Amino acid sequence: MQTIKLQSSDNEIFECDLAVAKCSATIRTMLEDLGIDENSEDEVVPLPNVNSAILRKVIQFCTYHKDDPVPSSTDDDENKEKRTDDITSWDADFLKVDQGTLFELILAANYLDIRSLLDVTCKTVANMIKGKTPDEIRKTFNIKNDFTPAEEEQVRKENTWCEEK
Amino acid sequence: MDNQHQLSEVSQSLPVEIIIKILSYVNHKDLKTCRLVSKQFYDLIRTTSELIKKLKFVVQFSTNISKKETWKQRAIDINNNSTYQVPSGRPLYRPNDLIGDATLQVPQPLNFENIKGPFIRNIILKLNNFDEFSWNFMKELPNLEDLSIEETRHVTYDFIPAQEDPIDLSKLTSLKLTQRLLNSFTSSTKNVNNLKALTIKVTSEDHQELLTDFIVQQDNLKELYLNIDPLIDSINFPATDITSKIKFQLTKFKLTLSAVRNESQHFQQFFESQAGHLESLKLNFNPDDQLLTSIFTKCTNLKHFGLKLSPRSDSFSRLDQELQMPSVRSIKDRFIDDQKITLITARFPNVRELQCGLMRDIHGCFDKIRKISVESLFCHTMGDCAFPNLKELYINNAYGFRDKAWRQFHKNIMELEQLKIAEIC
Repeated sequence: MQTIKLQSSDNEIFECDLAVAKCSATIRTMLEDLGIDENSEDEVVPLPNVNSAILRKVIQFCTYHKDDPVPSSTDDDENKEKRTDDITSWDADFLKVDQGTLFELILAANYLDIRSLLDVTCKTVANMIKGKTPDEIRKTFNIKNDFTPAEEEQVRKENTWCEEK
Repeated sequence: MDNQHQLSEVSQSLPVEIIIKILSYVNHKDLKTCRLVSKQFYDLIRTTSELIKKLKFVVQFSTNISKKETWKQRAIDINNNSTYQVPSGRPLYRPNDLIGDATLQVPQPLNFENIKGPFIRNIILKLNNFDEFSWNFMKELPNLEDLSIEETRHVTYDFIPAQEDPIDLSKLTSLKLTQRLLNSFTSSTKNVNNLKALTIKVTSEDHQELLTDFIVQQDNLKELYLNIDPLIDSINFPATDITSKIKFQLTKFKLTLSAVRNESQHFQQFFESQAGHLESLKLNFNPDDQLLTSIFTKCTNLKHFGLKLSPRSDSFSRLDQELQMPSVRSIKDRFIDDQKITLITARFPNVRELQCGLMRDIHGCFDKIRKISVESLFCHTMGDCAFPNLKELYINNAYGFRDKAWRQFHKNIMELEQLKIAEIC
């Protein structure tokens, strides 16, 4: 089985299956367009935006999912109600991590362009928002409330004009 | 402490597109909460059309309300604050508040001039006790996509003529209007030629040619609903031969004619020019023999057919015995009994779904039906029929539910996955 070496931002080298690494569209592009020789023994793909702890998780995810069918890129989710209750139990277990790691995984999935990982991590965060108060959401995202009390009242008023489902 | 510091760095560096992606998975209720989180979240939701659409902001106006308190409170809201900008929506009442006639005279019903809403895409306006009515309220609504104006037949208004410049409504794709408002609407607006859905309630005999001309201009029209008031003596649609001028191809057509006939000699031609593209057709009258033959021979892509045949209607018996509509998957009728279901299964061999007002006295076995939605089901008359492949059954009022015939019927639906009964009578 052909393997490839990936280097994290903190200079740790990971050797993994080429098929696993190719779950990442970014790595695919690097290999194809930038002329990195797949067959060369010493060639290392540098990933300066991903640290070793996160890269280890990403490789674990891609190893498990490498044989999944590729979702069609012409997504018809435009009209579809987006679901968040379709996370598999393996993925749910995999994402039982602290919040900082979850956000870092999102950033890594975004940078490495791994669609399935990005989808499932975003869904997990969406589920964390479910049923929370504005203040709890602020804590989750570590966001400061920059509304004045009057502005906040205004938004609350607007919300009452929004049709109930 | 260190960990906390790290977390804040990470979450604040989430790119905007990621936050939008996360919010796109959040449901309607929680999305409302997210608008309160921060200015960034508020603006993101406000400016992302996928998200703001999900919130379904709706603007509704009416003077026909019964809850004085609510009205007063909200009327003051508008009138005291003349520069108030409606950012996204302002239903003045919930539809449930609309009971009875107005008991409160509101000073100058609504100051329409004050409504500014770049995010308003949808307006429902119910005209009732207005003394005068002006289209000017739309001039600050540049993104209006969906406009629905309903009115009561007997009320007359003084129309305030349009401002000097007609209002540009080029983004409008869905319009619901009464025919007598059409004249002032078309002279007060411009660029309304991109409609995908048009519903016209014909409440008067005026402007029949105008209606025809207006429809002809809509090159991208897909859905046309003509709802003709039962008190109108005659309707002339289309008023002229328009088949050579039409560019649109309708996929949905609904015609409510009630007891009166369409007087237009051009209707048959118009219908036949559209028949081939139609996927959904609803008629609430008995089509004459010529129209019925057209439906059966020309509507080759029809999937949904809504009928309103009287139980003793014999239009079908005069139809060529061989004619069938294999494309039709669902049928809606107000009444289905043994005779009707036999007719339906003979003429529409691939029907999977039945929707009806009343269902009773069905005999025999119908193995192709997968789904039935019925307003009133006479359960006790269904004992000796079978729907062996029925998967979904929705009943609003179930009569004779405790009868043993029903238990027999229930035993016969082996494949049932969904059964919903709203009320047992």
